[in-house]
Amino acid sequence: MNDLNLVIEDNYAQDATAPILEARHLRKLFPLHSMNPLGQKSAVHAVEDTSLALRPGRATALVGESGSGKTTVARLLAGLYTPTSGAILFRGEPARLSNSASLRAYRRHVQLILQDPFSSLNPVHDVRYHLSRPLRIYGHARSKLQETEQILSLLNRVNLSPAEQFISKFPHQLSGGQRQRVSIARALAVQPEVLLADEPVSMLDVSIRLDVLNLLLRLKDEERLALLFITHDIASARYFAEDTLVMYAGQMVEGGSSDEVIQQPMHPYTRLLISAAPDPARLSPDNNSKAATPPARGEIPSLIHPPTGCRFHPRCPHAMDICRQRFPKRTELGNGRWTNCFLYGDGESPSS
Amino acid sequence: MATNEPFPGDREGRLYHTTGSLLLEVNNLKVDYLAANGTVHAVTDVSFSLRRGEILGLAGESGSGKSTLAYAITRLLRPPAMITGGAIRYYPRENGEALVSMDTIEKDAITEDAPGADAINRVPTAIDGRSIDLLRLSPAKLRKIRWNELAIVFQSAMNALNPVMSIGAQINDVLRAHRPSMGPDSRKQRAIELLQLVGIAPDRLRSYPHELSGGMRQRAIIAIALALSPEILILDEPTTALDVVVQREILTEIMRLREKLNFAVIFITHDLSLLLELADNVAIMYAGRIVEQTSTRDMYLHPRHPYSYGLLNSFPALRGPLRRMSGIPGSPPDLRSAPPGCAFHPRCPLAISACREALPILQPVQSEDTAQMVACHLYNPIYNAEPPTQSDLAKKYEMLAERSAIR
Amino acid sequence: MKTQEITGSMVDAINRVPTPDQFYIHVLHILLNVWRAMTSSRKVAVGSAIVGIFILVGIFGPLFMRYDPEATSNLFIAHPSAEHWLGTTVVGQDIFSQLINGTRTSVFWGLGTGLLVTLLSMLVGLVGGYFGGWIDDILTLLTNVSLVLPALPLAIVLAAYLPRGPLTISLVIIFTNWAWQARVLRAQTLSMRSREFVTAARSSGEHTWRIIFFEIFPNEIGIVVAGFVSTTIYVVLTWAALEYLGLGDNTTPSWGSILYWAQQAGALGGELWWWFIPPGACIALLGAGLSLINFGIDEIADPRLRQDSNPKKLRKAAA
Repeated sequence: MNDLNLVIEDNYAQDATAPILEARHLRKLFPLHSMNPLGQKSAVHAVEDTSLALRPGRATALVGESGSGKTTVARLLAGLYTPTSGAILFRGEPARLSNSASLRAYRRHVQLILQDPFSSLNPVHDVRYHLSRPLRIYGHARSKLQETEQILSLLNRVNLSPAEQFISKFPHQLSGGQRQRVSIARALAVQPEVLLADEPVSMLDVSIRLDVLNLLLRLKDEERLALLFITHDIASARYFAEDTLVMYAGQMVEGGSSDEVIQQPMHPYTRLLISAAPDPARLSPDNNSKAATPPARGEIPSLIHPPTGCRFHPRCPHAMDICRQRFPKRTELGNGRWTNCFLYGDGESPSS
Repeated sequence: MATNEPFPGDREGRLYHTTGSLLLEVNNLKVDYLAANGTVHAVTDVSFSLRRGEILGLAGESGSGKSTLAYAITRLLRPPAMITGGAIRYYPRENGEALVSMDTIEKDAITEDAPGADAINRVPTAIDGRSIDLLRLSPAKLRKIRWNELAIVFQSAMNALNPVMSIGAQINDVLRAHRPSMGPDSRKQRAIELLQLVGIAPDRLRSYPHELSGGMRQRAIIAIALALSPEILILDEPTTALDVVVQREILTEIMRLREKLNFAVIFITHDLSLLLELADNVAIMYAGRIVEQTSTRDMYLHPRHPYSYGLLNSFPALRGPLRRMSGIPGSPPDLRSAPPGCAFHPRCPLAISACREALPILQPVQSEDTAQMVACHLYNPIYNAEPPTQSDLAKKYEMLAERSAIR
Repeated sequence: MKTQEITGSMVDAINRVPTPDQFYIHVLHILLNVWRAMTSSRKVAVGSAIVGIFILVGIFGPLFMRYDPEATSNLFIAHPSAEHWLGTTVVGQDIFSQLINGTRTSVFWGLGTGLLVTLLSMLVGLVGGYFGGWIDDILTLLTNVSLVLPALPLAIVLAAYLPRGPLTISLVIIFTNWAWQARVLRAQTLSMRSREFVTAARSSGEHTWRIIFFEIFPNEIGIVVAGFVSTTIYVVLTWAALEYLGLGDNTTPSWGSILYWAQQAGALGGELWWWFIPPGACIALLGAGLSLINFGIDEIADPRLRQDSNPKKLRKAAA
């Protein structure tokens, strides 16, 4: 069943399995405490009206720059923050994340992998401790023997072999790639259905990134995990995930199958992102494509006083009056493609 | 400042940038970190040359020694790091206003190039044969060279900018230190000029670093670096901490300034795909040595060293067919216990027995008369009769990709 | 997760993995590391030696006392001699025996109180730092109030009104001294709380109390030990001060009480140097020893402060 050939097929339209984890209209504000009790309360508008769905055996990439809100979305889905409004549904049921017991039950199914391999492992504990905790907490191992056997098996699955050598190592004795694998093993120890990977390879050396990404892909295939891959590198999003979602300044602006979003970007921000990404293929004499739109100016806005309406309008070369007034509704473009941009309509289906 | 001009430089035109006169020559540089439990050879036997107006890219991962090299050239290394060998020759401007008067530099720091020196390098000697060995300069003389001729932009602008001084004050500082003849008004004028040059509005002269965004801070750093119109600008991962869009803007800016002011650039980064778009020539470093050195066109079309090939194939393509890629197995070596022979051999899919025993030397690859240099036994007829072709390299890496998929 | 079959090689692997007996070998390793750390820095070595000697004297000293420290005799204010190594007091008590007896009290009550202060400040600091919110607000208020009150005068006042005895002094010192270390630990815990491994532990479902004591605290042991040493110095000195002022229990022998009686007898102004100098010297020496350990801990923790990396030596080696 596992297709390990070199071409990855895109089955978006045919895959009708129900999403295992869904976010609907998530919104997150971080209130800022001001010294002046009479002054206006301000907040960081980190995430505005974000919706996404993760399906088993599929990887979804969430692409954005700093301040786009992608890390906040991951933490909302992992239960580390509570949404200001909106809902998170696991298997169709609203996830209860209020008290620690229900959180623990939720985390049995949804695990988070963090970005920094150097600080996501506790320097005073060895690999055995790190992996045994989730096994114990969730009752997968009840004796020392079971624990050891499961830890060894986990280490083998993340290609840390020989496992017996790694089990007693401390984080400072491991390289960045190895540490990240330990983090992945720790997440797997819980036996989750969903893995949220927050920039899992950004802090690793370039030549070992693909190894870790390939590992995640293999685990996704073998275990039918639903993966959320958060990244700022749109090229790796294309490599890794079947679907790509683009976020800007807390708002979702485009989504669809990775190939389509990257080859035919619709939203002006997506176009900007793609034209800015390093692409040595531009050198090739047989490459005739040039950037379709000139890059826009400016920088990511402050989230405390974000621009009204569509937050990209100050930088957008195609901005219209209405863009300033309100945020466009999602326009479905068929075949799973959608975008939030007045250039393509305002919540209606495509006319052509 | 408009950024809607097409991406800088005609690709063809940039290839021929390497016709400027010789500016900097690094010969057999060696940098060691001396520690109680052993010496780490951070940079070993590095040689390259830089011409006026050239953009040289230095690519490598952690432990490659690229940042150490940058610090060595500017002599910013601190103990326990020490330069233990080699020479860095700088050839100052001969025409136009030479801001560094040769007479003010003691004779013993100047060496006449011996005829026939650096025979294997493809570069001619300087026009009047006079150069300055940066490593032998006294601190006072070094100060004259620094910033006047050689400027460096560090990775994190926030670390390089003084948080309690406005950026105008910091530019002013630089000007006051190196141009005592300038009055306060002309300094202010120059500061405004510099900010405009990098696209910051002059009213930001009085802003503090924390009031600026990351991209603007990096631009401020570049403005400070260009304050004295240096001949060489060293960029040490200048945009790694920045977003992709801002990165593109800053780099476009630098290229534009380079076209205008004709300084040479040494661009150090781990992002090889970026270098291929920007640099004229590129040198790949691994475990403190240069393993391949060539023009970017040649690097893109036919990387010779297996490490270069692997590195190039660690960047998923934005376009083109999707295929399973593998990166390079293993991880960069710990320099305290570097493998014998070629440092890359434990990870190399094409390693032969010689790789474990003998250290390969950077030598020209003779085919196609491109001046591509590679340090690999596979191209040395003594060890290997048939040098590998691109498809050989491709096949071996594909096998790796399949193996990692199956396991 | 598909569980794999337990193969023969896996059983071997499982058997090779450390068992509880090897846990003790692990502890031995840790002790060896501590020893190595202690001898690596001269300061720590000297300081540890001093403190070590005092502890040994405290434990074994009374075996070597030739006289009962409280027994009076007819030999008043005798100079140090072969009979009485440090002479006698105004009522003929052997000062050397008193000193040894006092060492036991001073050192162990000092260390014990220091330990209790550390534990209390740990609790307040860790809990306040981790939970934040109203818990932290209340604890910080208590900490700040306690910091603002002058410690020694308050201790004097309390000791004067409460029933005399070493327990009283101990409690008084604990009450007046826990705040500083609590504040330091709170700050450290606040910074640790946002470290990624704590987030990862939460995300793994770890219980809160386990996060505080098993994830965060092990990273703070260095500070806690340094704090313990500083606190103990202060405790020893404060104890001596209180005793000297007569607020302690004059019957329980300690260095401070020796000084008290010496002062009562007017020895401090006169020529009875053998009465007050030895206990004073002991206090100073113990304080110095603990301080040296404290400086040394800094050196071990921060390599830049180490004195043994001599750049000149390295340059010569490179030449």
